[in-house]
Formats: sequence, C-alpha cells, structure tokens
Amino acid sequence: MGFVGDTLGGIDGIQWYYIVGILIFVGLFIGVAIYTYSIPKKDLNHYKSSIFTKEELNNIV
Amino acid sequence: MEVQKFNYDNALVRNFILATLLWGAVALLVGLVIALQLAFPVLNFGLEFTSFGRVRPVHTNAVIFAFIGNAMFAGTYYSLQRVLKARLFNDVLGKLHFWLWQFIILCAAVTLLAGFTTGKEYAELEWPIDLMIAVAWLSFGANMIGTVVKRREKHIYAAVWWYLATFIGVTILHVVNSVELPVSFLKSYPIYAGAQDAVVEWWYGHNAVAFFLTTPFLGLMYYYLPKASGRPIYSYQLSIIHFWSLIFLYMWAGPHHLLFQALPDWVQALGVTFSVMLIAPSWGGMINGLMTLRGAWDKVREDPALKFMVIAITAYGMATFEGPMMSLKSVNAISHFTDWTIAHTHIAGMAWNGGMIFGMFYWLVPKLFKTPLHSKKLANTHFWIATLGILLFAIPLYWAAITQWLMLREYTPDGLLAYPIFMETTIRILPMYHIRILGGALYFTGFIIFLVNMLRTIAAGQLVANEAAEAPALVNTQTRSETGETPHRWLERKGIRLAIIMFIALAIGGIVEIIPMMKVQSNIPTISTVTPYTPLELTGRDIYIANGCYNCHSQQIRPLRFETDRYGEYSKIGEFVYDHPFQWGSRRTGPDLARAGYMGSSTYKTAIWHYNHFNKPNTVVPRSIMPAYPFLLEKEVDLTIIPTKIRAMRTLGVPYAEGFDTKAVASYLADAQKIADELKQAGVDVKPTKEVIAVIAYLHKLGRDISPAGAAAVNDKK
Repeated sequence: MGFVGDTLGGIDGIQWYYIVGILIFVGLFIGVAIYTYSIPKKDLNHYKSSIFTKEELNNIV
Repeated sequence: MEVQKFNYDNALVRNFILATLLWGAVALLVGLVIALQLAFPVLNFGLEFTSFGRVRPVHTNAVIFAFIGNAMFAGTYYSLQRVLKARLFNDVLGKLHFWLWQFIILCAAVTLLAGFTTGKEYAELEWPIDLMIAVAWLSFGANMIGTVVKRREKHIYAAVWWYLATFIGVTILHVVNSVELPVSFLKSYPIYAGAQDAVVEWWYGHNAVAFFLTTPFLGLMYYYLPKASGRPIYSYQLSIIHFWSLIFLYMWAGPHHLLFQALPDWVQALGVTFSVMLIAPSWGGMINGLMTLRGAWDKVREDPALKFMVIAITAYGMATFEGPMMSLKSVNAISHFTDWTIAHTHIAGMAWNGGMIFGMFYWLVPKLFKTPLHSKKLANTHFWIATLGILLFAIPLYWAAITQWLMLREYTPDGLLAYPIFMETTIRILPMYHIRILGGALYFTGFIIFLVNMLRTIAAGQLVANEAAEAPALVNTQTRSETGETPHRWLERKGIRLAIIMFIALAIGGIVEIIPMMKVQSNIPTISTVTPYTPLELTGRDIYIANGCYNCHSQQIRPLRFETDRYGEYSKIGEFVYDHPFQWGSRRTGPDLARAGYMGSSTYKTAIWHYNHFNKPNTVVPRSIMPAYPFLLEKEVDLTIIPTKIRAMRTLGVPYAEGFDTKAVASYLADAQKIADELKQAGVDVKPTKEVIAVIAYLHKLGRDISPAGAAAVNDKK
C-alpha cells in the first residue's frame, strides 16, 4: 500500500484520480455491456414481462 | 409445484398515499408563501418564525422528504410486493417506518421554523432528527431486503435494483454528511470545516438529488409505466447498462456545485468530467421510458396517468441534459448564484418528480381502492394547469437569471461596473418573480384538483388492507443452477452479494473525492493571519445560521472580474478553515458577504448601518426585499452555552488556548461592549447581550483577517 500512502501524502500525482476513475468506469461499462449482451433473449423477454399478470399479458399486442 | 397463498399489505401503501396528499399540499403552499415573500417582503411579518430564511428550508425539506418521500415509499411498497410476489417482510418495520417518518417531518417543520438548523442545504435537520432518520431509513431498507430474500420470484425485476440502490446510496450519504458534534439537544457542529465541509455537503446534496429524487423514480418508472401503458419496458439490456453507469457516475459529480470556488482545481475538474459523462446513462433511462410507449401513444392521448408520466420523462431528459451543461465552467459562471439553478431544480421537481407522482397515483389509487378514477376530466384539467404552471414558473426564472447576470457583468466605457449596487439587479428581476408566483399558484391549484380527485376516488372505493394473492413457491433461490447460469443470474442469486457490489460501485466516487480532501494537507493551504472566531463572533455566526441567512447571501467571491471588482479579493481556501459548517451559499438574492468585514470593500458597513438595516431594511436600502429582523434587537443571547461551544470547537481542532472556555463569557462581554459603545455614539442604546450585537460582530469578521488592517492587527498580537 506504499503507493496509496505516497499519493495521499501530497498533491503530486493527483491526476491519477482522474485516470483511475475513468479507467474503472470504462472497465465497468465494458463488463456490464458484455454481461448484458450475454443474457439470452428468451430470459430478457421473461424478465420484461414478469411484472404482468396473465390477463395483462393477453392484452399486450 | 406448490402454490402458496399470502396477502399483500395494502394498508401501508394507503397510509403513505394519504401522507403524500397531506404533505404535498403543505409543501406546495409553503413554496407559494416563500415565492410571495420574495416579491412582497412585508409577508415576512418581521417575525423570526415566518422569515424567508427559516421558511425556505421548510419548503425544500417538505417537498423532498415529505411530499416526494412519502410518494416514493407508497409506490415502492406497492410495486415491491407485486414484483417479488411476497408480502412485505415485516409489518412492524413498515409501521415503524411510516409513523417515524411522519414524526420526523413534524419535527423538521417545528425545529426549522424555531431556528434549529445545521445550516447545510438539504441536510438542515439537527442531530436527534438525523438519528431518527437513520432508524426510519434502516427500517425501510430492512423491510425491502427482507422481502427480496423471502421472494417467490426467481428474477429481481429492474425496478427493485433501483430501489436497492436508493437505499444503499442514501445510507452512505446520510451517514457521511451527518457526522457532527452535539453541543446541546438541538445544536451541533459538523466535524468537517470550510472546503472539506463544502465537498462533503455537495457530494451529499448532489447525490440526494440522485438517490432520493432520481433512482427511486426510475424504479417507479420501470414498474408503473409498463403497467399503465400495458407495454413491457422497451429494452431490458438498456435498463441494466444505464443502471450501473448511472449509479457509478453520479457519486463523482457533486463538486460541480462548487466551480470557481475555494476548492482545489482537481476536485472541480473531476466533478465536471463525470457530470458531462452522466448525460449518457440519464438519457438511457429517458429513451427506455419514452420508447416503451411505442405503439401506445394513442393511450397517452386518453390516459391522464400516462400524460403525466410522459411529461415527467421528457422533463427528466431535459433536466439531465441541462445539469451537465450547467456544470461546464462557462455556463456555471452564469447559472450559479442566480435563479437559473432554481429554475433547473423546479423543472426536475415539479415535472419529473411531480409528474411521476401524479401519473403513478392516477393509476395506483383506483387500482388500490378497486374503483374507477373519480373524474378523468378533472385529471386532464390538472394536467394542463400543472403544465402551464411549470412553464410560467421556470421561464421567468431563466429570464431573471440571464438578466441579473448580464447586469452584474456590465461595465461602463470607463471600465467601471455599470450596476455597482446589487439591489439594482434585484429590482430589475422582481417582475419575473411576480410571474413565478402565478406559475406556482397554477401548479398549486392543479394539486388541489388532484387532491379532490384522489379523495373522492378513495371515498368511492374500498381498500382491501390484506389483499389475497398466490404464487408458486420458490425453492432455494440461492442455489446455483446445475445447468450453469448467466452473470445476471449469478448477480441476483444472492441479494446480499448484489447489494455489496452496488455499494462498491457507489462508494468509489465518494472515496476518491473525499479522502484526498481530508488527507492531503496541501489541498487546504492555511493563511497565517486567519484566526478562530471570538466567542462573540461565533455566537453571531450561530445566529446567522439559525436565521438561514445563507439562503440569500453567499460568502464566496469567485475569481471572475465582475465579482472581484464588485466585492473585492476572491475567496481562498485558507479563509474557511475554522468554518464549522461552511456558509458559501448557493443563491445570491442579496449581495455576497465574504468581505463584509473588510474595511473599504463595497459590502463593509458600520455597526449602526447594520443595526438600522436589521430593524427596517427599507430605511437604509430603499426597495430592499430583505426581511426585517427587529427581533434581533430584542432577543438575548444565551451566554451559558458559550463555554461548551468553545470546548466543542477545540475538540474539532480549532486552536483556542487551553482553558479559554473559562474566559469565553468575559471575552464575549468585553467585545460586545465595544460594539454597544459604538452604537451608543451613533445614538442607539442597546445592551451588549442582544443578538444583534453578535451578528454585527460576525459580519465584521468576514474577510477582515485577510484585509491589510485585519492582518496587521493579528500580526501585532503575535
């Protein structure tokens, strides 16, 4: 944890907060996109319709 | 497969609906009152309990936590049970949550009007109420998580993800922002000071918008819009992607409320960067909402519930585009401290939150009470009146903002400020304030129509407090499927795991911004001539906070030419190191006061000027809209608490000498006597223990330490 301690000790290297922050977001976004697109279409349709009762489902065009 | 029978708890939903109707009327009425006060200051009545500075936080808290909060709980509890096919986890927790929340609202109204406030916007409530909020909020969260655990539906629908993020997000924000040191039953000081306090407060403030006003309402949108329109949500994939992006990005954006202010550049840049990025996930929600209605727009024409939801989602899209634009420095220079921000928040509050609440209630209340809506015609009338009200409210405020900004930055050919007196700009925008009142009155009228329609519907119907339902039993939701599983199923299989991952996504932004602000000393450069407040100044500061002066006066001069020419030297981080809490403000209805103690500055005024100004502002500043504060001339300061306050400040790191608390009252009286003597020379006889003396002392401290005279005096003492 020496790096963390050094960084927290002074203002030098503060740009790492931007860089790491954006990298974390980009990583999260790519991960979420991949995992989302790995969900089978059948499951997605089931999830979408799960809030409807049978009657309501029959009325959906 | 075993089919289980159970009951939905509709009584709790009904209670929150009724509370929404009651507090909604109160919150909007109070809003109308403060709009009237700004245009007609005589309506402050010269009383401390009815002055704008105290009533405005009642309006904001009532709208956010009473009106919107109760509606959010009603909508959440109804949909949560249906989505998860389970009764709420625990009835007692539900009742505790409901009654404690209403008690908190009552306590908030009473204490804020009585002048008990932390002085931090949207987090004004004092520490005992903060503790009650924590209990009520945890009972809400425990009930929700318990229901998730005992659900009969394998899948956790998108709406519940948003509800869970709401619970986790608000918990983090409330805990971190409310760390304070009590000095009496209803008085505390935050442990953070100055720039650090500002970062924490606006990280909280911005994310209160995110996790109290946005994420729960996106959850409600994902349930009520498909139900009302009879169409499944447009894209479930989009709902997942914009969920994770939005909750992650929001937590970084808070510092955009502090641009050009006494804050390290890196924090401001982080706030701007992530604010601009927020457009994408926000619009993901808007697109998903509007596209859900594809093929169902004919229903929108007929159904008032859908009409309100469409206007809500459209306003959400507008506000979430406008917000990032306002976080660009060039736009922020105009929007901050002007009515632009007020217009922006009201577009979001009236149209997005209000629209979703009205739309949800027009669908939900007839369903819950098993009767048709009392009057569709009234609902349509409400829709058009409310829409017109929003426009008449917001447009004049945008106009007022641009007008005031143009006037404030206008120079004569000789290079002097064209409007050196701040009051000139206020007078110029008063007509816009009159139109705003009309907009607010229309919106309130619409609400009364809504209220009547709801009450008549409720009266005509009948509530089934325990509505019978049945669903197949769900056997061991936590077991991994033998045939493998998708990452989505892995995430949802264990509710606690999902909650922990959400917590991590939420916490990163706050950690990255707040910890370096606390740990890196060079972020907070000190100024050797800046000294702690004397007991008299500290008392005056507390009176300033109690009366909500920060609602109209900032204490922050930005490094912009038209500000430094008007007020003096720009504000520096080191000036605020003893400010528990910071008082930078967010709107200038009156001039900035950061240099009110800097002799020679335009805002420096003598003691007698302040005395007369507090008593009758118009005798000193003709056409001023500042409320009169004659009670400051009459009220006595409680001297007995001063030693405790000094000890509390020492605990927080303010460098008072050891044992100074025992001399604090003597110091107070000696300093107060000097101001009383000065006033006597001007022909006013006032006791040194009156509140007005302390406030004058505090105003004369602002900026004094960095003025040549103040710095010389400090150096002489050293």
